[in-house]
Amino acid sequence: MIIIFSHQFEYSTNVVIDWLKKYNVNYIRINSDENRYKLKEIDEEKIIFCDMFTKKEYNFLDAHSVWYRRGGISDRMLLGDDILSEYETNVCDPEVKKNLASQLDYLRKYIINKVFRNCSVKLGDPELRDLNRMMLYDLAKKKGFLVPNYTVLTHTDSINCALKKHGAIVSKSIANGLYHHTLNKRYYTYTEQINEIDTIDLKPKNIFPSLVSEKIEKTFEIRSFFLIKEFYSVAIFSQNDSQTSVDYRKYNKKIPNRQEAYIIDDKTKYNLLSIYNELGLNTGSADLIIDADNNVYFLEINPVGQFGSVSSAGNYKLEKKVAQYLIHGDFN
Amino acid sequence: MEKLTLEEKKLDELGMLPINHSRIYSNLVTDINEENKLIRYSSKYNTDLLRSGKPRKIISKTINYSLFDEE
Repeated sequence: MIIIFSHQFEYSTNVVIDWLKKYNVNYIRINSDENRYKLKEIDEEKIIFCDMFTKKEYNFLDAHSVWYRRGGISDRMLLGDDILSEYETNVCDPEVKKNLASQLDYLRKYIINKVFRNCSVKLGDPELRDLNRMMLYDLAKKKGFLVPNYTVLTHTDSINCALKKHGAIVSKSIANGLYHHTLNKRYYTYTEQINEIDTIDLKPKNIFPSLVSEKIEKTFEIRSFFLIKEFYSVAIFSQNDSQTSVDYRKYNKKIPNRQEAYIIDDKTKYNLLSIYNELGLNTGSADLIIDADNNVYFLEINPVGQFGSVSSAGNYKLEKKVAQYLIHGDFN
Repeated sequence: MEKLTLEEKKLDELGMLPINHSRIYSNLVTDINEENKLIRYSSKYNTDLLRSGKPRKIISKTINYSLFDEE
């Protein structure tokens, strides 16, 4: 049996499941944003979850293979709807709430760790789902990559200093960008260029710590998916479209960026591999930029990044490879 | 991106927000209950899916006739 931790609407998970079906393999998909599975019992030899639709029970320790795609185990899966609603409405004391939340966290970590330790085939790592962007910059630099110079600004005066120092700068989120939805709107932030005009008449004052980095003029960018020991990359020609030139995720659906299969050079491969090895990750998506002088700049590694577009643009059939790895522990 | 609206703030107006919040994109969400009609459960994938692979997102809105009773 294979356990997949994911989210609802996670498309790559669906395609991997198509392949698992083709190979006639049993799997369980745990979506952290739904309430299909509910914890029933844990002891030293079993972790039993009940499928609330079929009433069938599964011992998660029967799994031989686990894929941490996204998500994890939600409070709802541990408590069930009735206790969860009581927990959310009736527990008012913040200290009690903090204590209960910490108990749930410990339980969640125990389950995921035990499942991962028990499985002979593992892909992804729940402990490494959020990598610290600035720590990753430092690690990439240590491993031989060029990294855009970055500054964390805490005062409006330092915005002009950063502009003078780097020429052109972009603002980034220190952690994940904003992805928030209210009852009637959804909000998003992207990497944005900060111009001198933005700083005219700016009063001197303290600001919320904000990450800016030198803007690298790219000739193209690369998204490289890493799976066990192999890299599968595509070049994304986003530089000539004003909508996508700073952040290609501002997709132009009318005239999409051209994407082509790309083989990264041995030095880049070696540098990336040594980052993955140091982190202890066996999969992830790296973003790189190639500048006018053919220098490779490291931007980030997302351990749970999307790889569907790399798979289709590069014709790599990555979802099939993921399925084969989950079944056999290799690609045969 | 075509349907996203840019909500831009001058750096001076950010208050306690970080600089990367000076440009926030947003799009309107219709009633979540209406959006849910576009979704079905797939037992094959063990998850909710959009009804169509390429949904046109045209939603049939429910009319509350009681609103017209007074007219």
